[in-house]
Amino acid sequence: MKHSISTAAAIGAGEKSGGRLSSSDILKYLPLAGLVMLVVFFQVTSGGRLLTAQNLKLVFVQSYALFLAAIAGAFVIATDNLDFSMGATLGFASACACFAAMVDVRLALPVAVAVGLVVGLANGVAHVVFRLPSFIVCLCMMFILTAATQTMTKGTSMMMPVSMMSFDNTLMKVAVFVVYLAFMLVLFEYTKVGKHLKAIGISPEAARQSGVDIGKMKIIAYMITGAAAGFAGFFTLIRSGAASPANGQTMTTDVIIAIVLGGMSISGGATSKISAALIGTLVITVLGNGMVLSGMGGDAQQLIKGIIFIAVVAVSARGNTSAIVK
Amino acid sequence: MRRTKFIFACVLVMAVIGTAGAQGAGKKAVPFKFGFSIWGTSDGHGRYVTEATKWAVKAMGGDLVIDTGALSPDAQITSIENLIQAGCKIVSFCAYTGDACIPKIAQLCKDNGVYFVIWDTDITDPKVKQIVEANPYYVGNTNEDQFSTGYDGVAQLAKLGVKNLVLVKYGIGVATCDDREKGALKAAQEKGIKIAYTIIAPEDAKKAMQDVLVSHPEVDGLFVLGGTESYLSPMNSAIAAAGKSGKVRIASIDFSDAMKGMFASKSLDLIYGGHIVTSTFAALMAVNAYYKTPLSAKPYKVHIPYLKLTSSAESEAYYSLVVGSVPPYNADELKKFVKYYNDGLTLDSFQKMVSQYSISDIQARHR
Amino acid sequence: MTKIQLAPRIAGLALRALKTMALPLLVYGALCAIVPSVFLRGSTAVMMVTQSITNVSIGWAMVFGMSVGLFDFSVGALVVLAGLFGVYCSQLFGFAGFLVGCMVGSLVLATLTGAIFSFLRIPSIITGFAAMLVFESVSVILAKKMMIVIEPTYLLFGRTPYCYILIVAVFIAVYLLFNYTKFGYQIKAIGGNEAVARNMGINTARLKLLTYIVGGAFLGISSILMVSNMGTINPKINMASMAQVFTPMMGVMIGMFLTSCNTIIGVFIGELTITIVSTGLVAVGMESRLQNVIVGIFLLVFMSIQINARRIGSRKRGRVAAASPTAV
Repeated sequence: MKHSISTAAAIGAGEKSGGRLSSSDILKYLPLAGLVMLVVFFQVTSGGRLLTAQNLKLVFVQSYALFLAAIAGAFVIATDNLDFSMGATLGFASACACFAAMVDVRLALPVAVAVGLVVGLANGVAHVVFRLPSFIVCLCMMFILTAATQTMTKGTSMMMPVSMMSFDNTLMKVAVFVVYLAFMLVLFEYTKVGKHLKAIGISPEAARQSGVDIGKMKIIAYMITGAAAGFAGFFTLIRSGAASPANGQTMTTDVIIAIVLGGMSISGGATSKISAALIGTLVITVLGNGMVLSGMGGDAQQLIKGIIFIAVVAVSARGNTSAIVK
Repeated sequence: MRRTKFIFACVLVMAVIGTAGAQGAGKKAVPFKFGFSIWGTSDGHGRYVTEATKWAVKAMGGDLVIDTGALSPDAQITSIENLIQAGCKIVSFCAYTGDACIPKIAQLCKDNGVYFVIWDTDITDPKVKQIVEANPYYVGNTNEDQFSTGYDGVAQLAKLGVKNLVLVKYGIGVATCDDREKGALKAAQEKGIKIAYTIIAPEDAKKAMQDVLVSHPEVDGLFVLGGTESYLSPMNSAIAAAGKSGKVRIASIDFSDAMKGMFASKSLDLIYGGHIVTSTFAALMAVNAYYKTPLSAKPYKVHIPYLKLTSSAESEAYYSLVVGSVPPYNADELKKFVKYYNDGLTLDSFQKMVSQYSISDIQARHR
Repeated sequence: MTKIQLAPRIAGLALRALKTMALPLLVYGALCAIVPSVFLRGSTAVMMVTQSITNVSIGWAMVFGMSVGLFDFSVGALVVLAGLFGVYCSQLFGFAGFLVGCMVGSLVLATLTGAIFSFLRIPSIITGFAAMLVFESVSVILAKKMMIVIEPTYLLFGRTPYCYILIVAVFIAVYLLFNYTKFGYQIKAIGGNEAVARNMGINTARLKLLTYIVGGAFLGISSILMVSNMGTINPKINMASMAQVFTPMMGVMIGMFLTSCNTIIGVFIGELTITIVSTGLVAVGMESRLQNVIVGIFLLVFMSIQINARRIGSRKRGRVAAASPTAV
């Protein structure tokens, strides 16, 4: 799955004439336009329930864990890799956090993040040092962590200490999110880490020749996604009040879908951007929320999601002039 | 003139009595939005309990809003949030993912003045139970007697001569499945039956059964504790492939489309299920609360009986009477479960009517 | 050829066959030592081979796409939907309806997925996710309108020797296609280096679409085998069908990494080994939930050894070459 440099150039350059939007500009703003259209559609079909203050707050809290995971997921995807263990890491981290909280509630967050970091490190080392395909490493890690979570929670959901319920505070979440987003944005767009990861996504060989330590960068990318999954695990725990092996089950695919819906290429490279994670996450959440508000819940939900997904990707992929599509 | 007045008075009295006797049949329906949250409708049980809820809500003149995908505590909470946001004043769900997220749901419902009811499961965690039962919007729950059914299944298999049993569970830590297993294990202990192996949520059910038959050739009984639709037919295939049809006795909880054929070929001995009305009666419990005529001041549990089938004729009757084109309860019959329409209704009479649920009861009512 | 010339040839072939079967034989041998009462029986060995048939067929169907770098996670959902369609057709047209329904259903769905990938230029992983979402939903809708249990008399290919006959026919077709046709050569060329293959004049886009279609034909057979095996087919939702793809994918990965034999045979070896491992875990009484973990660890260890042994080997050869008098 290689992303050619010509694609990056083609998308980046664009053609501007007389102040009109070029086709590449249109494609760039398509995911945002798609989100706006979705919002307008559901605002109408739900009889105005979508854009109420209470519902907007709901959309924010429902998207929260996916926001955190998808923003970090962009780091690994930028290198043309995927982390299939994100969901299992989230579930495992939330279970560990729950246990830690029973000793002292202040330990829950650091334990969750530390667990995620260690898992990410293990994934990175197995992939880089032992040269195992990342797909296999992450898949096996997913099996191991799922079994571990099932064992820890005895297969069912485990209630967190009641005192932690007060942690589920929207204002606090907003503050944390702003800081997290700012940090990740700076890391991804303005530091060597982000630039090197994108370079690896464009061409690992070229990156190596330019002096990038590919192995170290990949390990860092996996550690970032692992830590973020742990972080998201903590917030899933305080939101649901429970640690469960079912938590995070669809997180990996949701992250990939969110990032693609947000307009980022699955092959990573120069066009990778954090905003894709934000827009894509909102699209997924608004879709789920809007369908229930409009009385479209049930069997049709997944079918509509799939069709919208194909449509959005089809339109945004038209800018892909790469000769190689994998 | 006096005679005319007397006749008129008699007619008036009879009209008043007749109106009362008609159980409030003339009362206008009170509209409401009912939110139904479920794991999905791709499996038979999910499909039928959703349909069963529709019967109740439609009979009461309500609007049903369904949300699927409640497969994790987080997703369950999201589902309830969305249903409340959609304007639902009653929500009903099965605590499929475990008890631990119910306190959060209880808080949500309390903050929004929404009644909630749980179907097909019990709250087993005492801490959770205490928190939830203190919530004024919690109506109660419905559940079948999982322990007794698990016990009875093994007891019946013991009568058929089973000595070495395989249990099949559809998940770990799912309260319904665990309770059935507890009953099964108790009966096995008392009847001297050995549990050769417990298969848990197999991806390839036929392979799983074959592996067990190879590792434990002494196995002569199979008890599927749920998720039957995915497991019964392939496991029966495995038994047939091993040349042990008729030698391995089979019992199951939860119905499956395969049961008709298996009864006909005598490869199935006994199956419990048909408890799809669990969500119907849960809905009616909640409607009573919403109409401000609750059946009890405190949260209460209603026991739902299983249908027990032992022949293909009985399974035919199930398909035509319970999940056929005509629901097992029509609108008037369902109104009898709501105090707004049936003044004399009490919790005891509600439970009594529910306990009558059976094939013969439906046949008698819809002859 | 004289007897003396023939003997080493036969010995060579036997050694090669042994090397090919080394992995499953090693695992089976270990299990014979641990649980002899179960594994020291011919019927157990035969059962292992039979059990791996469905996953092998799916693996062979996927090998075409995976060889050119395509990862399609919708395969599980496709097999289920094609199977459901086959069952539905069997209720109208009997056994022939079942076979034709599975094949046609699978071909249509695979062509659709391939067309989305090819014409819309969407990466295969994304196409796979989108297709999976749609196929799963359609399965649920279709399952509501029909009985999902098939007539027992149509379960011919769930029984021996018919399943063997079918899988051998599939093996011959796949082996010939992959190794002796232009299609197969071009797949390997793309798998080696796509840019070079393109420059050599191979229409890579057309070929990738063909891998979907060819894979779809073989997935139709997988569908027939799956339904015949289980007697029923259950729709899955919320991407649960992805779990069905993992085992065949792992088998293909093992097959691609095995150097002792052709990839097609390697896929069979891989699937057989995974089947033996999972049966062994039941025999030793391991809890169901841990079985996936053990299979995963086994895969990690195996691939680690394969990959790093090759690397050490090539380094060794490099050192030997450097030490030689002709080295530059």
